[in-house]
Amino acid sequence: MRGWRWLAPAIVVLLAVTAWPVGRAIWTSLSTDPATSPGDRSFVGVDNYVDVLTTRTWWIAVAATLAIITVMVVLQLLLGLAFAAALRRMTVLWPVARVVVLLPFALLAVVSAVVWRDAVTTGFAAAWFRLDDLGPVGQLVAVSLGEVWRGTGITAVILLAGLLRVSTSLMASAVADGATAWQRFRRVVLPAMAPAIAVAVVYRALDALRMLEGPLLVDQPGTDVRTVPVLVWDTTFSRFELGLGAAMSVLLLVFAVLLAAALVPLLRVRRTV
Amino acid sequence: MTPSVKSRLWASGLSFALGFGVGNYGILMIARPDQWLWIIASVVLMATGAAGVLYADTPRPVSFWGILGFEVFAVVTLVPLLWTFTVATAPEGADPQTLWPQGVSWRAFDGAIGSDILRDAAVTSFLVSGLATLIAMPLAVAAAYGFVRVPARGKRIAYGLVIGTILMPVLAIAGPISEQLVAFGAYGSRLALVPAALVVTLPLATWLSVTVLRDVPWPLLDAIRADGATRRQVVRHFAAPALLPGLTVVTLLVFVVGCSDFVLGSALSPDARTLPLPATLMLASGQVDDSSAAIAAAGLLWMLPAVVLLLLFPRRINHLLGRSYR
Amino acid sequence: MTSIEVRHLTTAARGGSRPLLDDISLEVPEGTTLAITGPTGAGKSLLLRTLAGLEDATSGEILLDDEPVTTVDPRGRDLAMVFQDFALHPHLDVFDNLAFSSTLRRGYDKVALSDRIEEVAELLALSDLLDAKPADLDDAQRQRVALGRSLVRDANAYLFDSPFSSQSERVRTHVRSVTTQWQQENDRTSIFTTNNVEEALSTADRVAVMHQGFIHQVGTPRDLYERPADMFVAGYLGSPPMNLVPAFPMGQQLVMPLATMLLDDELLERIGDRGVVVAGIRPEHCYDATGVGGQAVTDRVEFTTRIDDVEWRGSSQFAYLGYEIEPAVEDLLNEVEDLLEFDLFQSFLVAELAADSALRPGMSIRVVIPRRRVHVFDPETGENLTL
Repeated sequence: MRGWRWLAPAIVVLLAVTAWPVGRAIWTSLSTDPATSPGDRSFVGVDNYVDVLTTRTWWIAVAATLAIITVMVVLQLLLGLAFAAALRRMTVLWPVARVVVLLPFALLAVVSAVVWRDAVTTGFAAAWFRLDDLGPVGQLVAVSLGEVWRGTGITAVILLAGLLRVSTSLMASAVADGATAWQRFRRVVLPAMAPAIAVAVVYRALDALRMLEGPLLVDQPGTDVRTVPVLVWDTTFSRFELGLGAAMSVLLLVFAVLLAAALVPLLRVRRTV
Repeated sequence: MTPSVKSRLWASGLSFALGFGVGNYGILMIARPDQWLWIIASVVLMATGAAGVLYADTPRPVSFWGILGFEVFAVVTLVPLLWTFTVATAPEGADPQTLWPQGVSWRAFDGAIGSDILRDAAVTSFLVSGLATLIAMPLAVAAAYGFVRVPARGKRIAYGLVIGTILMPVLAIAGPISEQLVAFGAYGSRLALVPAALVVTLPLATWLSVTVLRDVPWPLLDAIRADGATRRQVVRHFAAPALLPGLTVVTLLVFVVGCSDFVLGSALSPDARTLPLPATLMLASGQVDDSSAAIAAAGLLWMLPAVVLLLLFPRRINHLLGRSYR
Repeated sequence: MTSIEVRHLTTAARGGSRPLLDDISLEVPEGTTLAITGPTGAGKSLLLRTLAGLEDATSGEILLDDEPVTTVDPRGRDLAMVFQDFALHPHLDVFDNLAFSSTLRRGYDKVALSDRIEEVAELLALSDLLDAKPADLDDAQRQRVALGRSLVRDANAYLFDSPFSSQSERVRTHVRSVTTQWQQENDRTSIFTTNNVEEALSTADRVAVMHQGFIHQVGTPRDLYERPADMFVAGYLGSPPMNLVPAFPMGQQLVMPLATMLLDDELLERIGDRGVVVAGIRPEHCYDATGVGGQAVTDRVEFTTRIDDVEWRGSSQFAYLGYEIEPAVEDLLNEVEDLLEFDLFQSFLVAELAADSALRPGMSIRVVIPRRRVHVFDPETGENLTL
């Protein structure tokens, strides 16, 4: 138990700033609590959850969010892998590449969302590819691509670290065993990289889930397609329905946990034979 | 290992075809000055293809797939940054329509530096994130030492909590925290943002410190103690060289990430006075027309500290972010 | 310089299994070298770390020059230690690494230190590497730097944890001899650990055999080799190890799988009513009856058997002589091995014979053993009954 002397302060503070609000969210979600009229607080049990889970908007938002996460993660993983593989070979350019690869991540998400939206509405992408008057969905795609751009660098860094773990002697022995390029990738590179890929996927997926700035920026009143975080934001901070918002917050957390729970076992390394 | 001739020819073929396509589309569909960018890209790609064919059967250890990948990487990464610059330097009242900046004007930068609102917001951000980082670092380093060096029951669960908090959608607890602040009567003060900012800084600091501490050559500590070093000498000869560089970078990274937080900042501040910078930019985008230039300019300025950090410690940061798993 | 004494040092294991250090008592007089040898996992490193003050023992006492230092911190004990994993400072070059521990205390003489470093570097063949960083060295060089770092230092005593393990076969003897010479010239007390038996026997003034956290015997190399206190020491020292065969006392005789030996009264009394004992025969004490050594033996045990296999090694040759044992006895031997976590028993006898006779597998051979050279052990306690 000697270890807890070191861990306790951080863990206690961490629990105070996370577990307490989560508990409070659960408590709030069990009552109606419009912030506009604080007197009207009343206990309603799970009614808020029933309200949320029976609306079409919620399920559309869940579907849209899932779709966005999938596309974003796949794109970042493919691009990140390609870039990592390229950077590993271009050792001469590392001093430059190391800086360039993380530049997008240093730009604020709000700023990236604004310029990516502008690019497809009035800017160069609209001119290059003849895009006329993209609707909210088109803009949502654009800001999501902006997020893909921001996150690709960090994904490449994680995957590159994984790639560098592939032992060269193992690779040489695979070549000597007569493995084809594809077999080397499947049987030598992938298993060695598996932890890196797992980390990249889980991290990028949960980061995509909490993406808020972009969707909020292109959100227009009355749009059909919204993401779950925007819905939570709108309910809590624009319409001030605290009870309902808290219920959505709790569901967002559940969403995150389910996503992680689905991804982690999926990415566990398996034996090939 | 030298790549095979076949693989080089495929890489050359692909980059040549890509260059050809880009060149055609650029000449036919794109207006100047961007046309030049397309043509340059096309020439570079086709030159790569030609070089690939020329060098295909030489034993030089050059990977043309690597070169092609690097070219794509450079374009993908730099084009949006160039566009951000173009937006930021657009002349007043004009929406830039080309990627290459036309008529560079620094007015947005001047505006961003001179603006009281932005300056207040930046101060708020620095103050909140700075305090939250200062509080988080000692706790985080102690916890990281516990995680790395001292056996404890339930350590894995504690570590899981840290990772979980890093990955958690912070938005989900923004509502309850703001309610709590209202209940305490602290809603709307800058300092009230600090405990909330710990949600971001503390787990991140712990996680990065664990990476730093894992790489420390611990046997050296025993050796120095066996050599009979005093406490001061242990700090000077072991802790300083082994820990300080890593932990400095961790502190700066955590500070930068804390500064970029949008959700908590905008959820917990009722008025523009206490909004941190990212939230202020978001608010501006909704309220002011023609705000893009100002936002892009502020964003580029805001990037500077992070870029300086990257330029100073590129290797260490890449190592830290890339190797943060086992 | 300083004598080291350890009294009843015990370190309990977490979880209450066998202690990691089991009631260890040792004495290292001033200016002598003690080697601690034993299989991996014996607790040798832990013992050194405890002596250095890096680990706390559960009970027992450590004395330097008859002063108890059990509660003194590592700095107060002032012992130099070489670590198994070298523990070099990655940001310092070889020279600074060598100088490091000496500069931790005030009032060192810069010039003298620099001279000493040059001298030690010369001895350890590090002179050309003084400007290199540890990352640029190979393991053998790193180990020599670690060794040099403590040789340079002027400490109360010196603790070396496997200090020669990474050296190649040819260099090792050289490094070993310069190290011991340096230590002797400076009249230094040192303790080193090794799992190489020959190294322990050839280098140290006294040797301690350690296994499972327990010191089985301490003594001069010759003492240990010729008069092993128990079965483990007998089986651990020597290469090839001592042959340990089950034997049954029957009246005045001791019946072994291949031979039968006459017991004298003293030994008979010691064996008492034990139904089974273990007889130990060193391979080099088996002689070919027709050879020169064999004919000279007077008080002898002899037997004739078939050779199963021969290994010729230039200076000598090993003959493998197989035998059968009953399953019940074999179970008993296995139990002893399980308890000791060490392989002691084989189903053949190894005889180290002169290289000149032409031996072939399948041949029949007559072997002679001097009766006084046969050790008899109690199978359960391991005690040597012949002492």
